[in-house]
Amino acid sequence: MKSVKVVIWLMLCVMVLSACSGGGEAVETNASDADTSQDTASEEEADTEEADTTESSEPIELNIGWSGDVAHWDPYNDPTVHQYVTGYLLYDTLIAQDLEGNFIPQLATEWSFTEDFTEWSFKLRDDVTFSNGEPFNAECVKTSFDRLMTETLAVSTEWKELTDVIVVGDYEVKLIFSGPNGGVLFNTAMLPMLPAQYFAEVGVEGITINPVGSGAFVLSDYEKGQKMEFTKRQDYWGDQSDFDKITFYIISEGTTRIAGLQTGDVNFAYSITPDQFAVLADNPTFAAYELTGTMDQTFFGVKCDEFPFDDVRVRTALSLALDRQELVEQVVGVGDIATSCFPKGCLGYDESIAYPARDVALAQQLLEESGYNGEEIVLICPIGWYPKMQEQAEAMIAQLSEAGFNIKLEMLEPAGYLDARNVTGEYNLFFTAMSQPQGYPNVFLTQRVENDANLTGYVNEHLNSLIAEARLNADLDILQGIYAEVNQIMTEEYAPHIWLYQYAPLSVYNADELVLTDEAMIRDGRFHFENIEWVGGN
Amino acid sequence: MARLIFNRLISAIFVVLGVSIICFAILALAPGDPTQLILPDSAPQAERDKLREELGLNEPLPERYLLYIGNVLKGDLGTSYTYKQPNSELIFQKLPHTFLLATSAMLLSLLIAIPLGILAGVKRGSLTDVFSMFFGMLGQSLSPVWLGILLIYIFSVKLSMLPPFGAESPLSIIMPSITLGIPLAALITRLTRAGMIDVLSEDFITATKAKGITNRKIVFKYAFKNVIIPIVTVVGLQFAGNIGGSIVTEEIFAWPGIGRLFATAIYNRDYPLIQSIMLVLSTVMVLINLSVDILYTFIDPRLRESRT
Repeated sequence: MKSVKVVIWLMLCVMVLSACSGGGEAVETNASDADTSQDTASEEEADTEEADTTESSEPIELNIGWSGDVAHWDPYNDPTVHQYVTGYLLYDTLIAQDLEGNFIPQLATEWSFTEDFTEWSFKLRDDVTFSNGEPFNAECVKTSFDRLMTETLAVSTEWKELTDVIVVGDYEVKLIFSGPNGGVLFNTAMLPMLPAQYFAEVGVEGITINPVGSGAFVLSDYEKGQKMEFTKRQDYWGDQSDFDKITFYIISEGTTRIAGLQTGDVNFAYSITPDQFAVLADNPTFAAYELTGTMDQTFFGVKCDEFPFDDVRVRTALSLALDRQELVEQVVGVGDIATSCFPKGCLGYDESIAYPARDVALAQQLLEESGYNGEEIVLICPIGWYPKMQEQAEAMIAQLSEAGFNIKLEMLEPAGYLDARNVTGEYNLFFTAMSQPQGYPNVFLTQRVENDANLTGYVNEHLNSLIAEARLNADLDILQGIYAEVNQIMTEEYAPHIWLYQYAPLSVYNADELVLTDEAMIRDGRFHFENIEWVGGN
Repeated sequence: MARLIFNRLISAIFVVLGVSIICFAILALAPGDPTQLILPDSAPQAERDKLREELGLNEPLPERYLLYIGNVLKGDLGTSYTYKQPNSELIFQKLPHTFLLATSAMLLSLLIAIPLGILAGVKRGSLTDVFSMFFGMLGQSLSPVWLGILLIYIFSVKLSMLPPFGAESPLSIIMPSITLGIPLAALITRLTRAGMIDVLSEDFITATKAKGITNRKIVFKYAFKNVIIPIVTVVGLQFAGNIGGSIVTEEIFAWPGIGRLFATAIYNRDYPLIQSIMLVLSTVMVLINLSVDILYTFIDPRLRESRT
């Protein structure tokens, strides 16, 4: 009995003493725990020796604390950012975009199109193999595009005018469209190519579980909800990554991702809030990277066919009453205010097009003129999609109430939110974010403005004609002009969206081991993890 | 005993069926269309309608339910909308991890709570008793989020003793077990203490003391046996609850349990996966309750006659 008491008291003492020990310094990174497949790069000998230029004995690993899992491995049917990012490791596309938005060859070496944009031809590389040894050729391209025509896929909507894929030669294909499609290059830059023979053997079910791509890495280990491990291919046709292995550890709790960074179990922690980063701010080992180049902007969707937002004065008043700067600095903590409908870097962005600065007095005046007398306005927000959603919403409601708006907040779980937003239209305002992948806003504008997928009730024929005209063009300068005019109209109309801020997720990494350069960024602000530079020892 | 088990198994079937019907009905009535979560916003209505047709969402509810139950009886739990994999694979990949976590938490809590509760009951008013009351109150008030993060900070970041996340190392189970086990330990401590105090004040205990039986024997052979029944009840209920309800702990430690899978399925309106998880969990809970009932009859043979 006495011995039990002693043990209990000892346990308590250990915990109390540990909690009271000095803090503020990061613990030296240690070798990670007993998993033998994981060798962290910060072994003791690496601290004092220069990187060995001859063959290294220890594999160089990038271990990422990541926030979520792919649904499965079919890149055509999982629209999550997790699939998007890991897809860059596994797969290649026919073309890519550099950071300025110019199209550059990848699996295709050159391309051309007819004047009416209904036929697109691609000449292909002849030196590429998939990770299973199957050669890449025109049949693979045909297999990939055929899926878009025969299956109901998450990516199908961008390809609904595709009617045929012709194999011209072993390394040349032609895509035939029923109507003009100016967005083919943009959409092709996001479509991974699949292996024809492998797909024929295993079908959709096979690639959903065992993906095979032509990319720089192969999926070497996958534990659902736990980790995604990618191993470098020695026979990759393109530039080799510094890393022999890239592992995504799926850790949904940001504080735990930070802890993993401090213990050395990960050397890159994705999507950390500024208050979480504050724990590491004084430690020079860790650096923060704010993804300022993202095309993610948050906005209010506005119900434009119902009182009170059927009146442009009320919509204007809403925008004037918002303090976007305060929202970014005091609540969100990262990012930049949205000046107009399109973020910097996106086609259509023009720094001369901007919302007026906050003016509460003018907002009050406009509300008075419009006849709005404090009637309840329903704002719906999704739970769990965006960090600090409740805090953001409450801050904005407080700002808007200064001008006289009476807003009722409804925090809805995702299914209910999407139901209200896309099916029943039971809202006055909704909060969401939108990314313009590759800086090409066609899909967003077609679906959310021209087709009004969110039931805002906003109709502007001139705007719709501009959106349709943009689809007929592939020239970046022409597209910039058209989309700038679209931006101007929507900014001045405050419809159907009022844009809030450009979201810039914060990532934290071990600066003793990693260097992030522009090469590591995708144009829309996501990471090319394979292009991060390794500067640690081996 | 055999009759007891048989009777309980028969009623278990009805319980599980009842749960599946209620779950099915609630899902059908809840707002939200799975196609909104499977397809992007940009998908036109025609594609959504086609997908609803493919997923069988346009069929009448009773027909959908009967089809689902028919498949379950053939051993087919259906396919997840989200993961495009058989639900049975997904569930039985995760369930062992949750069982491990729940079992570890239960064992840890018993290891702490039983000795502490007995001591507190025997040495009423002592420092140990005061501590046990404090522990009982604090343990049940602690937020698992706070406790989990604190444990990570102390044992992973500061002491580098334990891995902060995952389940790859044998040591990974320790902190999640503590996080899940402390509230349960607090509850059992209070229960044990209160039970011991009650029993030790009974006349038959006085009689055993008068007979000259040692204190140790009085506590463990006579007193504690009368306290076990409510403890077993609570442990059984909590264990069953932890099988399906340890989502918070699993999220903090990135533990690959079924809680996370369940939460994601609900989030995505993945009807087949939700129904299958509910079916499996309700079956597990019924079996746990049956095990508790059987355990009662071993602890107190008088119950064998009354229950059969």
